[in-house]
Amino acid sequence: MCGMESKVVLTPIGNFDIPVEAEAISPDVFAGKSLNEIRELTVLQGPQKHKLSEFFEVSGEAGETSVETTIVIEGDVDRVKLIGYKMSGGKIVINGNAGMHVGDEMSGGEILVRGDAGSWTGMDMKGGTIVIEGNAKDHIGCTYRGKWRGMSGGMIHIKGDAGNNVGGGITGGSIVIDGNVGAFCGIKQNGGLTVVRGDAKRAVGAEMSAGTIVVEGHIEWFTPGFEFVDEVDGLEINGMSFEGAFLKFRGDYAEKSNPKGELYVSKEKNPEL
Amino acid sequence: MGNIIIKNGYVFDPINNINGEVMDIFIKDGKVVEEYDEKDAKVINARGKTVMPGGVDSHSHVAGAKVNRGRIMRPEDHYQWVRAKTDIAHSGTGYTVPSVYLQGYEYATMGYTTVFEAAMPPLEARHTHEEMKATPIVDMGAYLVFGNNWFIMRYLREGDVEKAAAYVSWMLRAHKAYGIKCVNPAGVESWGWAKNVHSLDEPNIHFEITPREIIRGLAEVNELLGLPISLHLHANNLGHPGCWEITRESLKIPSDLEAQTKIEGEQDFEKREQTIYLAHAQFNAFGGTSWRDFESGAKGIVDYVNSADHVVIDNGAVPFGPATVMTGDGPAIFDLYKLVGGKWSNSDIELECGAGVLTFTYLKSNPVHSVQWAIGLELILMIKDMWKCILTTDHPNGGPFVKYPSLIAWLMSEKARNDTLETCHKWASEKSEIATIDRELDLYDVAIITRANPAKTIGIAYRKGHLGVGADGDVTIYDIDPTTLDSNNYTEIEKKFRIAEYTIKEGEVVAHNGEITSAPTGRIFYTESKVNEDIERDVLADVREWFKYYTLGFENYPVDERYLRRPTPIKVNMEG
Ligand SMILES: [Zn+2]
Repeated sequence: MCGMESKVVLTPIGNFDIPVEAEAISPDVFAGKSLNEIRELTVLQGPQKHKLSEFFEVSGEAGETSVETTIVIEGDVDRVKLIGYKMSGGKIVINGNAGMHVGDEMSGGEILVRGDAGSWTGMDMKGGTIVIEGNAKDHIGCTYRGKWRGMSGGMIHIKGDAGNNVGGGITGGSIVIDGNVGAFCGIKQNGGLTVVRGDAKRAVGAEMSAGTIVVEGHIEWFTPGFEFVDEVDGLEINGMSFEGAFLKFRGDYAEKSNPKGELYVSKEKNPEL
Repeated sequence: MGNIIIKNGYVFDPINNINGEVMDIFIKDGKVVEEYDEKDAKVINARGKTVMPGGVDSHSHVAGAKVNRGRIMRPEDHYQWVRAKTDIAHSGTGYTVPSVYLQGYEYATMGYTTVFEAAMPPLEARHTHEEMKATPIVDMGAYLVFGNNWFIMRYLREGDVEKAAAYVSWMLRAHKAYGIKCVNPAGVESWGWAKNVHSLDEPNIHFEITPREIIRGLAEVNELLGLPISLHLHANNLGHPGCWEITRESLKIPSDLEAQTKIEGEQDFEKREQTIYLAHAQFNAFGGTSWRDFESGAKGIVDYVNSADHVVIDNGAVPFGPATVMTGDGPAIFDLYKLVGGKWSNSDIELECGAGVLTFTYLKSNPVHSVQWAIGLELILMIKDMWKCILTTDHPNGGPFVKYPSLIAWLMSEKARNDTLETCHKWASEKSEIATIDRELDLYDVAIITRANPAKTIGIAYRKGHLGVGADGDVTIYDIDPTTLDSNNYTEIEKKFRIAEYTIKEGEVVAHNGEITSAPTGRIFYTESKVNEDIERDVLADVREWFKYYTLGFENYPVDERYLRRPTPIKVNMEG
């Protein structure tokens, strides 16, 4: 294909009962393989090993390298986990809903989900871009349970709402939620940027020690360990600009005595602060 | 139990003075026997390979409440370290705190067949036995924690060693335990009131007994009962700069006692000579006076060990990387938590002891951690007589046991050490003697510190740690040709020790090139000793009286044999 982008199309044929763990659906794995080799790739359903072709019709052609490979999934794959696991380049487009753990530990490339995404999208990611056009569930860009340091680079953009624990433990990179979020957004954040264009429930930035959180909407219950620093008019962070007046806080003092976490909250939407 | 003949291997069996001779080993019905006809056995050709007795780990935290707390605290330790289920083996997860199944398989994969749990609180004995029961393949036993036990402190304060001995004897029987563990003597009791003790002659709270009195008393009790293992000490001030000094002074306390091992039916075997076995010496060999002038204090310990014949240490080395720090020394863990943060847990075991658990990572870029790495290696390389030391990581405190092969590589290869010195913090070379040591252990030395000496030290060398007739048929075959072994190629050494070609347990191949081939049930060893019946009756009356301070009933206290797999009592001192 001489450097041109090659496309592999996966069409779900059902059989998703117990969730399928499909780490194999990645441009890094598909690159350089024939369609038959791709059909033979192993996926797990519970403890059982299956072939990818038991769940998907496979057509098109893979590129020589991951960067030259695009994977298009034509339909909902809510019950397929780990799509794009550790991918370093190329592109995955899901024309439907995605399951849990999309783009875990990815270091490069691009994932586009036209529908909704499951929990743990972009867990521990290091680079690349994930765009979700619909809503997402919990633990978006959050590190694994029990771990305190997660996502270190890259970008996650959720165009709808997200659930609880957005950006837990991130140390770098950025997460932008256009809609609302649940509780514990930016918990244990230690670097990077988390932006919420809509409203947040409670415990925003809890146990945060570094990094930046911007909330353009209303925070229902403000986190107690933050102290007011300043009022600023308009913000410019990582090439993103935010208009209007913001109250700047530092915290979380409940976590340590000299925290470097910065929390910017819309003045207009939070008159009680 | 099977019949296996291992032919033509280079055999390293230090207890029988066999240093790389080409020999055949005959195992019948699970025991090493004299030569017999090979048509009755599975024959393994070990030509060009290294044959050793199965590995013996004399100090590892693998079962019980604090280990399980570590597992619960650390889901992140589990999700990327997994072993899939096979027809023979269960699935398992966990790196520094593996699940019970996985730890059995990982030990077997590495060539180890015997593992002793380092600290069993009496109240947690049932839990500990339940976990040991579920750990496949390896033979096990557990040391019972006594250093801050109310009854012991009371009897020793009154100077009544006989009653203390009767109590220990009953407790070992009641809880199916193997020997006496003493953790931060006197200090853990004070920790119940947020205090600690910092010198050997500082009395603790309420009982007003000193660490010196407890160490001396328990060592005397140990030899009075004639237990297989000596007193096993986790010394005071562990983990604090300058602690090497109190450690050396502690080692001196039982220097005049004579080692007495009185195992019924076992006369003629390599008996222990030590009256004190110091646990994880690295953590108790810190020099300096603060973290700013921190340095190795190994020399002070080593000089004493080299001059004394009543001491054995295990090094408790730090191989760098993730660890889970867990010990009965609650205050030590709390001090570490204040220093580094992380996930911390602490508990009190009523009337008996306590425990702390903390997540931890040793970094090459960290000056103190780099010195700790050096101390762990110094504590073997600077000791003249290999029969005074044992290789451990104090799993999972210094690092997980699956890192033993890295430590073996560092001990066998000066180049391995030098290459690490180039990539770790300069304090390792500046604040220890590691850079000046050119000693390289050979396979015979490695066999001493990983099987022969741990077996001898814990008093089980009549059946473990050697390959003489009558020994258990536990054998490891490593794909190492001693005639072409190149210590500069240390990654190869590490690889070969990580995955044994064959691990044989009681004449059955349990692991072959990393795969579990059978998963037999191991034994649980515990000590049954006898003391004067009148004294024991008096002691039990005391125990019943003070049981009002426990939150459980006396009848529910002892652990019966149903909780043990293949219970194997070792009868000692039966004349009473
Ligand atoms: Zn230990």
